[in-house]
Amino acid sequence: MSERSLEEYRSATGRRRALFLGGAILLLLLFLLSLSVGSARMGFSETLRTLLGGGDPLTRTIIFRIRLPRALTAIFAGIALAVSGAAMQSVLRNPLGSPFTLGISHASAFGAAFAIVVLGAGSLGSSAVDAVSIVNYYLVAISAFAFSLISTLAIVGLSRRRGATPEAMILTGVALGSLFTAAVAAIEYFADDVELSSIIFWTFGDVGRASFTDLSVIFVITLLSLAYFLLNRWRMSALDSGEDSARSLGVNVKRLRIVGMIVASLATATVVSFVGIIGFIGLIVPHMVRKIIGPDPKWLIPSSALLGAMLLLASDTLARTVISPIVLPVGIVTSFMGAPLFIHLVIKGREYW
Amino acid sequence: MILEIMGLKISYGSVEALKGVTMKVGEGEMVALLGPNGSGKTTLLKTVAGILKPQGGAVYIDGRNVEGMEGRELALKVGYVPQWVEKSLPQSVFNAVLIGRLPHFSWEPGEEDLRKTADVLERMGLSEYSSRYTDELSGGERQKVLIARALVQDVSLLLLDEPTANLDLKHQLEVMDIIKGEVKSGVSALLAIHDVNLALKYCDRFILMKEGRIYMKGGEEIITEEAMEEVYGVKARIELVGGHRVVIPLGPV
Repeated sequence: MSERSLEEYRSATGRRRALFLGGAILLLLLFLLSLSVGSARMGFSETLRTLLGGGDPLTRTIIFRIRLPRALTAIFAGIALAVSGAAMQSVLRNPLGSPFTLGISHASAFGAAFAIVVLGAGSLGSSAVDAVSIVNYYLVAISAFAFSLISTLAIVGLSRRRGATPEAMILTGVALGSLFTAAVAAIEYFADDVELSSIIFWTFGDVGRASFTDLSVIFVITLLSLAYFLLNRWRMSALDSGEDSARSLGVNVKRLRIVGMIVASLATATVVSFVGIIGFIGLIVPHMVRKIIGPDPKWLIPSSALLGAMLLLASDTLARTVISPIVLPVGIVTSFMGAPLFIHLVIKGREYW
Repeated sequence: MILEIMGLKISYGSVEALKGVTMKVGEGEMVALLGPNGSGKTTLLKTVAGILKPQGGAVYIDGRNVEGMEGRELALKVGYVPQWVEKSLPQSVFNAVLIGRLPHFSWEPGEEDLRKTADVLERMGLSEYSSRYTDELSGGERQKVLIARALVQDVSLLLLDEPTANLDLKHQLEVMDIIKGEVKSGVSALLAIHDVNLALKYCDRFILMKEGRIYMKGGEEIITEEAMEEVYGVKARIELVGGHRVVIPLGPV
């Protein structure tokens, strides 16, 4: 009779694998769609032909210079944000945790703005397309990361206090978010008109402004953080069952919490420094995965990565086409989607904790 | 497997929870930690489980100081069942138990880990719940999931903090039978328990704790009317029923 639970587990695993594969195929189709739609429409076959090295020069330019970096940025930023959110929820044992709700995104944005304007790591342009051109990538990313750590360490410090509720952490996150938003506003205050419009444009997350060089930095950091969280997925799952339980199973909770938060912040800071603040992906994706696939440690991190990529790419495709030819920053779309879900979680999510 | 605790001291701020506790649990022994709330039972168990660090004295397992052991190394020998189900994100029952195999695998649980999990679920009567989520279970079923997690861990010492607290009478007996079964196969068990009669029915030895100290330890003969009054502050009568002691509480002193 012990066969029964084993059978059920195996069939659930098979079902999850099928869902994951289906999702991967969907992402591929979404990717082709996002390369095909826009002010210059092209068919799937033309897109494919161009990707494989054919197509006319104009199509090649549109795809390789504009749409491909944009789509890839959406994919990797989606992975980084969603996985960071899933990891933060686990290591803080807080279902409302995410880079955005804990104020870590805002701190990164300030760090990047600080590097660009004050430290001179970039220059501000006059149009939406070249709103910010970054000269020193490392300086921007490092500054964003350094400031993100301020939020991160405040949250980790709070989490170590007994009786720190999920709500208290989120309220602290709101306070930190406001603080860094104000700090960005202070930079804006001293900027001239052209710079001002650029910074404002830049603070709305938009995956369209990352270049191939930006992309390679996001790519590497995203892969490294994904690898770290995949390696630790069972330990994080043990932590989901409780701190004492995790410790008694040999998990070094303190180290997992601090290193996990730092890795998640690094991924967040990298994304934010090149594309701006994109809210709610990190919050809602892990919850969607728990609903669709179930809270299985084996699948939570990889599925969050997949769904994060899908959601951000779909959002960006929508943002480019909904009032075409005007291209909306994707951060606006994700916030319109995410805010109602956040409220839903606060009201209904009680069952979680 | 032998557990030895020597002069163990733990304080929370200015509150001394353990004031120098020395005791021993031998191989294949089932030992009850008895005493009122706040007498230090949970603190003692948490320290042996490696969750709290000794501030004085030491805990030895098979002659080795626990403080020098890696978390994983300790987790291969000692399993811990917390008193109250900590708030947690929902998981399937199968996964919640499977996680007890964590000290045994690194990348992904193998065939043996899955099989052991299925076996323990079966033994605990949890098979039909295996696909359910932990937040859909009753208090008693959650308690059984926690015990099942410690059983799949395959340890030689089980620490259980009030394993029967949330259970109805039938489940209490079932759970104690399961622990006794483990003990018969050579595992040692140290359990904090409020129900003195349940302890008398199942355990081999008894440790009475009061205010962070051991009041008395020994066989069931130490459970006397005087001890019940001294340790619990309760007037009680001890009767022999079928050769076993039974405590009949009469009222607070």
